[in-house]
Amino acid sequence: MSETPRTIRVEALARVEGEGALNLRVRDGKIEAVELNIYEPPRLFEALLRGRALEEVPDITARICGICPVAYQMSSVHALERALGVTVSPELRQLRRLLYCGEWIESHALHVHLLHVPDFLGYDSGLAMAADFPDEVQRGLRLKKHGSQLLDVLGGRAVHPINVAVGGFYRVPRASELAALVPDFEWGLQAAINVTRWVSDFDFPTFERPYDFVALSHPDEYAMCEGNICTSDGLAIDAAQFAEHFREQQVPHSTALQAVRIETGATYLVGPLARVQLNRRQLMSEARQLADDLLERSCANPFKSIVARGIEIVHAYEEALSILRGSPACGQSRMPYDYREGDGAAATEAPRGLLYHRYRVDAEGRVAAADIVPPTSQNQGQIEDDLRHFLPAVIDASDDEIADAAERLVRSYDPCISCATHFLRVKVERQ
Amino acid sequence: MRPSQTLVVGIGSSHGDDRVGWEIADAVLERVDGRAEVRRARKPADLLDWLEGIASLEVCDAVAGEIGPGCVRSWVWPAAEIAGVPFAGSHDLSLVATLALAEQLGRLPAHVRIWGVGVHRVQAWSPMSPAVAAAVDRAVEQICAALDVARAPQP
Repeated sequence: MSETPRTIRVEALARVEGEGALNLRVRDGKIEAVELNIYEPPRLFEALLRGRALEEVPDITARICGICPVAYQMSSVHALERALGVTVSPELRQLRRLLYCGEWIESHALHVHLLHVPDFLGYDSGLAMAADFPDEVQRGLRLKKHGSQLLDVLGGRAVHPINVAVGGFYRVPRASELAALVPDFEWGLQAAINVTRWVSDFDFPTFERPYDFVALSHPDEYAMCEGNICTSDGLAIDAAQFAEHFREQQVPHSTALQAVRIETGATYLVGPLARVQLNRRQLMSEARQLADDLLERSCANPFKSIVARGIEIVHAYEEALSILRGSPACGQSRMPYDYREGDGAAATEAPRGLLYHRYRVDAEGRVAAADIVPPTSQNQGQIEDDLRHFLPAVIDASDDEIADAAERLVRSYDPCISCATHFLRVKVERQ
Repeated sequence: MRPSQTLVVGIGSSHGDDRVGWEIADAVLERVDGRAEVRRARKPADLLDWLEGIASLEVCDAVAGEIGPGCVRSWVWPAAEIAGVPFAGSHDLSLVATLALAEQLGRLPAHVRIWGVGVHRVQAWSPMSPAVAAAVDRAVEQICAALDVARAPQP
């Protein structure tokens, strides 16, 4: 005779971006159901964009997320530029990578120090941790501020930047504005290296998954804005082929779509761990050395994403310094273009993972169709699958302990629920 | 050396009634005649960089929903009720979280007063609504009076 079901519900997941819940149902000591419940209402940005002038798209899509607006701007302008046949100059391309470094530094530093480290040190929050680890928390705040500084200088402001344009930027910064950042970034690089070594010494649960990693990959650089979409099993496609290989599907318990590989019907993982494992060779020298020292080439432990995130902070500082010290030429701010009917798709690497955009534009420069697939939608199915495999190890624990273990795992992916809504409370049902 | 400075911060943005913190900071700057340092902030976390040497902090921000548009209220930190006040803005650390973090880090001034102005219309690039614009002078009078009291010789 089967037992009464046991339901464990986390009503509101803590220390994730946005609001969502987790429902777990346990019967006869086994996990019967795991539902990552994203209940923020659908935001319908794709419909909102239809009929808008294409120049409005980067500013509108930046509103999708307060944490990763640059990613939305970058995916949108790259997709629109492909639709229009625009190629930006190498100097503008370099400034875009610099802006993206700012977003990675800001987002990763926040997640590592205030959202994720408390899990490993036994605190409920970054705030609670601050009294015992003031130097570490202040270091995190300082790194985060460096990212904001780049967004300010290149994006016009740190929150929802407004300076990214189709074809380039509305205004390029003066060389003196960029040069002034060098001393802070030199300090930041060393601090980021220390952060990465610090977090790599934490105790990580023993938990490995046979991940299908998915990330942009580029032969000449650690992919941020350009490259092929690549997978662990060797697929390498242009972003224009995304819909041929990846499918979003609705699930009844979530306002976020969930993505799977069409070929396998299976979930996949995007984000820092996927990027480092697929693109380790392209990391800059200090980051590469840390990856080789601290993250095994076969590592597929989601809890160690915090190490991958640290490695990426180091990479972002190295690349930013390389650009800042090189006195980037700040001449022409935008490439000219003419309106034409066209279709363009692009993917860039948001801090949380691959962000795909596709637009169709008409001859008057208006958006005829838009499709946006955020990283948390892509990871959502994988998170549920990972929970199904991780939680049996703690199934005899109390409901509170199970809920706590589940939340810890979910935070490893740094989900951005607000982005994904079209997403966390944890509820466990025991039967 | 003991901190002695007074800092007045207005938190705001260019968007409609959310300008009110900036407008108050600008008006206080004209009145304080060097008696206090006055700054505009785009987000509460900016405060964390400005607290060294500060003994007294007056911080002003917009409040969405909890109090009527144009109403001015103040709270002396730590006030239990402040945790539930919906200061405007959904990005980064909130004002309350920022002050709590500064306190945990031992960086919070001995005296902190929070000024909240109820707001109504926070739309990109729009002007302040009349009710909120009219509240600026009242808030400035109250903040300057508080600064005067703070600086008055103690018996």
